Amino acid sequence: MAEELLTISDLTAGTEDKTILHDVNLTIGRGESHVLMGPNGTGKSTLGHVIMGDPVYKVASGKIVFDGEDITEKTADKRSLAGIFLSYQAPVEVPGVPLYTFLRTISQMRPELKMTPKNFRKRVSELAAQLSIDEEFLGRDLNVGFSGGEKKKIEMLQLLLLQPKLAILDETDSGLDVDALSVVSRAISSYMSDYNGSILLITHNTRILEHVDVDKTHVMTHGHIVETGDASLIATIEQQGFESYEKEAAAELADEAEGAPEGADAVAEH
Amino acid sequence: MTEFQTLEHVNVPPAQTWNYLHTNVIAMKVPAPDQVRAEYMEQTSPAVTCFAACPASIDAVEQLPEELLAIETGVGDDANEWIAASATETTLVNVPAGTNLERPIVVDLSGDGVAVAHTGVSIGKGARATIVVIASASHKVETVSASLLRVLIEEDAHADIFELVAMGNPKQHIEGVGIECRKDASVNIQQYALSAQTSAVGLAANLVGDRSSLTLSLHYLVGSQQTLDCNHIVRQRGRNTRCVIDESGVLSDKATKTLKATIDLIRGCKGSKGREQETVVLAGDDVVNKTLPVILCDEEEVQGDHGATIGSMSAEQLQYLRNRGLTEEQAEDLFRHAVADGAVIHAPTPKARKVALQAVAQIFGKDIAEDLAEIVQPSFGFDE
Ligand SMILES: Nc1ncnc2c1ncn2[C@@H]1O[C@H](COP(=O)(O)OP(=O)(O)O)[C@@H](O)[C@H]1O
Ligand SMILES: [Mg+2]
Repeated sequence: MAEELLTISDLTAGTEDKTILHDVNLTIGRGESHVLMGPNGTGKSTLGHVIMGDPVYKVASGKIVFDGEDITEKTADKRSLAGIFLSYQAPVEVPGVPLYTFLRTISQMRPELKMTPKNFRKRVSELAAQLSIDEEFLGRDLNVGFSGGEKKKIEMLQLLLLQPKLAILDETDSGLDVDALSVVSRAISSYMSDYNGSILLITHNTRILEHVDVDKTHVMTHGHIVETGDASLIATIEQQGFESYEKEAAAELADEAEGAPEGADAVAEH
Repeated sequence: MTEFQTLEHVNVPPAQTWNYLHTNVIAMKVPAPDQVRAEYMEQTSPAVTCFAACPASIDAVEQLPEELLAIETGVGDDANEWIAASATETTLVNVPAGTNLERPIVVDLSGDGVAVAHTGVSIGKGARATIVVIASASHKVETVSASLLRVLIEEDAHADIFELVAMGNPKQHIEGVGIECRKDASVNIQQYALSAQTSAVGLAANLVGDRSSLTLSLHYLVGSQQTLDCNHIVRQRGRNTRCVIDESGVLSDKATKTLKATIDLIRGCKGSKGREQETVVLAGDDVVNKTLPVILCDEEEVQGDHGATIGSMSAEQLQYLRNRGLTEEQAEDLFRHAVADGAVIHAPTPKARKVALQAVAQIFGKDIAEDLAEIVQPSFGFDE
């Protein structure tokens, strides 16, 4: 295995009043691509946000180590500067902030990306061309009035501009038409090959996986990682769905619950 | 010795708030009209210009025609009268029907000597025109400058209006606009209020014709001890008219901002829709922020919305910006830069761009302005 980049150990986390993630263990090596799959509402996005440091979620126990540093207590801005990038399932609209201003500001936060204004403009123009984004967008307010596909392309533009060490891509592929999907998948491949990027790709759509070489696949149900395998696991899931994992998880939950009646998982089977 | 007078009621919102009148208007100390005229009539270059081969006629006049004078403005009668009396330049512009002006008509209050401009623009049927008002501090006026722009937009015509107030301390500015839209006419207005010790920005638009429409955005940056008073009035009279108003900005240090936004849905304007929304970032504990949104409604088959004024960044917005490496303070700073950057990005003429960049240099420093000038391509393709 490649040098460890992200190591999550025994992570239990959730909102103030609800535990969403249970005892999650996950290790991603530098340059690896991992896929996280699972039914809706199982905690995939939550895991992404917890890795990023969203204060909406509280870590009850466990720890997150990134690039050799324990970041469990760090704020999101520090994690971002350390090299973690979270692409939103639904990117946020920020009226009043032109895309140009936003891109220039976030790249200037990073000493390693220091560029003359000329080079910055050139770089952004190249990326816009690569992603088939009309340059006119750069003067528009961030994500305001952009279509779903345009928003995802702008996320990819930021990914390629910032060149983080780890990109968590939360359903970046969902809701895209064929053209946008191919632009986005090419962006992901180029991020991995050109910058030795690592990804955690959250998806329930296997189409995008035709374009990305997958090192590991994880299945999450009810906030547990219930299975980890190689790329072939994707085909299995495609055929069988998540049902068998759900049953397993239900059984585990029943076992965990103290004094749970023996027949609990039998009930779940009907 | 300059003699002063006080305009007691500038930016008067519509009458129903008469009992709050004193808190709802701004008073401005200005020189007497004959003094303004005596001192500044000796101008070297005219304030109102267009490009050489412009098909519009631009004439210096004693007084604007009644049709234009009758248009309600947002600054109110006190300011209207003072501006009409002290105008160092009164100009009438006629854009012939059916023409599409390829370059803007410019009202430039940054040349030496021009202190007060009163301008009327009549845009003929089916014509299209862009009007730019630039108020900046390079002229010698110590006390106040003012622009009053009245625009009549005939059937099927369209106007884009871009206003830039970048006076710097310690200047005062009155920025008045009155618009009338006839049948199927439309207008898009972008206002940038970047700096002035005290500025009054008042705009009134009458959507008289059926299906006439307006979009208005105000972007403001108020800092140090500055005061911005803004009065937006849109009266929807015709049937199926549309009005969308977005105001946004940042207050910092000891800034004071008052925004009055009134959408008046008048009896008979069936099928009309009006929407107004403000987003303000309060970057400082000593700022004073007042917003008085009003929807007057005298007609049943209409829709009027006030988006709640958003008093800061939402938690989601802030978290998104954090995820990209910004602290809360840096995120607020991003919004401040964004307002000024927007003026540079959208500036429709070289002069407007230059003045916006000067404002950036003055507020954020020379390096930032130079950086921006390199990065942001002009939105226009001509030289002046
Ligand atoms: N901020 C939140 N507040 C309350 N409940 C939440 C919050 N975020 C997630 N949840 C709940 O946690 C569960 C997992 O959500 P999520 O991580 O979005 O799932 P997924 O991405 O796998 O579809 C869901 O039941 C969801 O309603
Ligand atoms: Mg999700």
